[in-house]
Amino acid sequence: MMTGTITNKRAHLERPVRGAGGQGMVEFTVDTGYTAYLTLPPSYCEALQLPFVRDEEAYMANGSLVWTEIYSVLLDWDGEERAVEVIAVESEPLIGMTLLDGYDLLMEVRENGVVRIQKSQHREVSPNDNATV
Amino acid sequence: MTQQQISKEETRRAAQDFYQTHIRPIVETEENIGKMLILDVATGDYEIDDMNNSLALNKRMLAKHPGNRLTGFRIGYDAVQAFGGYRPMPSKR
Repeated sequence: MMTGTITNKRAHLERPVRGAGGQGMVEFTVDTGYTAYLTLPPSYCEALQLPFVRDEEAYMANGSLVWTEIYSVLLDWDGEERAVEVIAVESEPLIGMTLLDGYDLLMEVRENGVVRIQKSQHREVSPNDNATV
Repeated sequence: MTQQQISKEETRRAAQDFYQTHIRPIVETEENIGKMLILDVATGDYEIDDMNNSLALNKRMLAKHPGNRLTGFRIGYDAVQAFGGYRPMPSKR
């Protein structure tokens, strides 16, 4: 299980990330309106020397299309290091719904409330994950 | 001209044109809608896989075309991912 905190009306979760250029702890905002894995600012991708993966277009909130660059980062996720795709964008770092797939997200939504993310306890919802009931 | 001499913008434009003209008419079938397609526009080679396998798919394509700048598409849609809760509609292009 991973735990974070509600601060300034955002659900924050700190996770270690690693690339050829170094490693660091990043404070991510859990964003259920974001469909992919992660975002990091381009300056982080550069400093961590993340390998470039590809270009692809993304929809912004108003439906407009923007070209984005995808990189690969090593992320410590629930005690396991995973290589995941990260979109380089100038925003606060985000955790999206694809990374959360197969996990339960519980938020005590009040200032300093606890955010809990753990492997799904609901086998019938995610029959292919390794959840223990 | 090598891939490195072509600008990022030119590669993206060429990839989009190539996808719309030569690939989309072939791949946009019911069973492929929503899948990930990765294109190496320098050679015209592409592969399709589930969205969840996009990083592995990318690695396979890079192994075949090392150093080339790849482009991703989500079949049936104008973009691969969405920010801010935008709900993607079928491609309008």
